[in-house]
Amino acid sequence: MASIEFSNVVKIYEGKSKPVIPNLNLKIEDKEFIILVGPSGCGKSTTLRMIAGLEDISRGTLRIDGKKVNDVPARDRDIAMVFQSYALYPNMTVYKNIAFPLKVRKIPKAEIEKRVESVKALCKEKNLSPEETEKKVKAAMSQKKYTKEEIDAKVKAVSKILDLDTYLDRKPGTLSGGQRQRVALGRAMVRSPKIFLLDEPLSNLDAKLRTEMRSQISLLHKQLNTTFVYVTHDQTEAMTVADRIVVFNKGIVQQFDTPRNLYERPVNKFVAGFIGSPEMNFLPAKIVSEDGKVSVDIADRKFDVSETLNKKHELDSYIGSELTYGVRPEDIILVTNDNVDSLPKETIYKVHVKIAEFLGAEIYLYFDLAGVQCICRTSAKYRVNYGDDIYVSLNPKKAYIFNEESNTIAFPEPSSEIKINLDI
Amino acid sequence: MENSLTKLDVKTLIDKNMELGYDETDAIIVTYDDIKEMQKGKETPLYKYSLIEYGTPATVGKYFMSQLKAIEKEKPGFLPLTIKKGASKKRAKLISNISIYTILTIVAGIVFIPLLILFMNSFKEGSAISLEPFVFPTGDKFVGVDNYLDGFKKMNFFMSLGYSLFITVASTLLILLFTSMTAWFLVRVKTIWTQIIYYMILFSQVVPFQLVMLPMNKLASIMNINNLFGIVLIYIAFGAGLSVFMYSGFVKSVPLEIEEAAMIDGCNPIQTFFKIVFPVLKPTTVTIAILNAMWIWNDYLLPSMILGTAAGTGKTTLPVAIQMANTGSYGSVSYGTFMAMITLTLIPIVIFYLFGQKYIIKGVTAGAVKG
Repeated sequence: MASIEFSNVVKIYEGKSKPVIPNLNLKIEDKEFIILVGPSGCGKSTTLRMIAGLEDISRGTLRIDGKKVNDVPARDRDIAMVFQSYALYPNMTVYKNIAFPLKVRKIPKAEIEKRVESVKALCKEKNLSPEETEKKVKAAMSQKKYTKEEIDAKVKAVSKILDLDTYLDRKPGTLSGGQRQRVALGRAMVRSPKIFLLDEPLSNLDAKLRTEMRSQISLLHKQLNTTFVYVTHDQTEAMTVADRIVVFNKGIVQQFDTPRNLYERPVNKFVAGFIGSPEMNFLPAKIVSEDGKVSVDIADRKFDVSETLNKKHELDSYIGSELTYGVRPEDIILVTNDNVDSLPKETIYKVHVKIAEFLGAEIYLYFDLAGVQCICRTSAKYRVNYGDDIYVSLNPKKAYIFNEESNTIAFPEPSSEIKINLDI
Repeated sequence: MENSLTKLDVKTLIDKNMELGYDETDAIIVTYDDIKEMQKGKETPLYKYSLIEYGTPATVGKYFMSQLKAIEKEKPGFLPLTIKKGASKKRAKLISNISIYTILTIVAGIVFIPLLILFMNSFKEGSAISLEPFVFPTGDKFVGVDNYLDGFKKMNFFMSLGYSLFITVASTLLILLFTSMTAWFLVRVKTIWTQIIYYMILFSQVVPFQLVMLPMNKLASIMNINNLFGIVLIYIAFGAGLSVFMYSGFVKSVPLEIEEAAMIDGCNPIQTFFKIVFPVLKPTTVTIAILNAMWIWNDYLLPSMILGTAAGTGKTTLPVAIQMANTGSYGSVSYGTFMAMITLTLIPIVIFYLFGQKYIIKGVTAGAVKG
């Protein structure tokens, strides 16, 4: 059990007048894998460090398991943290690094209780006399620190999971980045803490290792079955492993939701732009009404969005006002021989390709549309080169519309479930 | 050997290289695969490398070079010029090494000669030391260990050795303990007060000893610390400036994260310091230990002022005791025993230095790189 709850938490760094985190309210449930994501300096690391107890809380309360921990020192919070720079102890071998938390710590009360219970059960099984049972129970209760054998068994078990058996005698300086990362994970795991904190743990690894470690961390979460809080600025990392994601900007939580909901129904322009790669295109638009039909006017082309968007009735109140129209790169349609007949001519733009990035299966095209640089992501089966003039259109079924305060007023119908039952 | 390169192949390669517009001064480094392709008669790219620029070529290149050299033996002048240039570069490096070592040997000699004279003269008869100080002791001028035995009679050598050892070891250990903790605190806790204390400690280094010598002496006698234990306190005060400064430089380069990791792993601040920070500071610790131990061991002025100069009792440090025991009335000095005792005094500190010296450079530069 380890839920984390921030209520009205404010963080102001000493000597600064402006708070890094003006008012944070957040409830993280037990056993969740939460990712804090946002641009640099948005307060996500500060939030993590507040959970760890490395950063004071200026105002408000932080509760772990319902208990207020504002003034509880880091060592008593029963958390483990993996740092971006790994923070291994350079003077110790891998073995000692992993064993260190067990060596300095007393056995937690809960575990002593568990031990006493198991000793009692064992005595009962063996039919020992009450005096002898009491003696053994006392011995179990008086043991305050882990014995060498216990530590050894735990370190060996952890190093086996992380595939570190052969490196136990080496110093961290002689290990590669990926191995160091695993040692840092091992040091965190060995204590079976209530909460796991990870501060950009993969940002110092190369791309291939990052993907590998990402799945390993995800697997670890399932094995350990504890609360994970993970900070990153890489939204791919966030989308792939998190149960829920907290999107931060300027110290304020923008949205706290599942990856799918963040992608499909972002609450504002910031979240829409931050989640998804390449990022969403934002075009200036105007809501117009002709013969009772509401449509969006973008650079003199009109798109009928009334049919497909939910919250469509709200659009009526914006008639005549200037708004922002968001479209994801994959929803800009490249006009080709295959679809030219199905698209109405009034919705087609002629654009000039500034950059064409070939990625194998896909191609990213950069061009200016309605005075804004746009990215179109399309299948690489169409050959488009830098400098070509191409025709594009927008998919009105996949439109996001944001008002002047950048809040979302309309988004596409969310994904649907597959309901097929084939008799094969 | 399956992959062996025939002379013909090498010749072909060189010719091909020249056809491609590269001159003889460019050595070619090719892989086995390239050679195999060549043998099949296919077109392959040849890579142009300058040996001087790239240093030693890869293993395959080395093999190729050995083949080239074998041909050079049979046909002088066949080898491209660069390869020969590489050889002359090696020679140039050897010459520069020789000259560096020569200079270093001379410098070492200059440092070593006084020690040698000291050692030589400690076996000489008294008058011979003043008459011919630079000559080896021979004949009746050689008195064996008489000077040493004489010295032991004249002064309580082992009592003074004990004093010196106690003062040096205690002062050095306490300096290490206190200054490392001070530096850690001053670096990690950033307030206006820690800044002021840091600069005061730095400033204490610029104050010359002679300036504080007399008031300090007076103060020591008022405070009743003009004794064996009191002098340790005074040494801590004088040693603190440089030590805190050096430790601070190094503590700054210790990543804060490892301390935070230790805190999360269950350490209180004291444990964090002794289990994590202090072990990481080891190179600096050794450096500071050597610098302080050498200075305290060899110091004459402070013990002579604080502990007094009661000759014969030996209740002072070795430098003072030797001076006192061997200086007679009207400035007469018995040089033989003087030299003998100094030789003995040198031994412990030289041994300590030799054990720790490999850390000195490491410790001095460690803090400077990142700050």
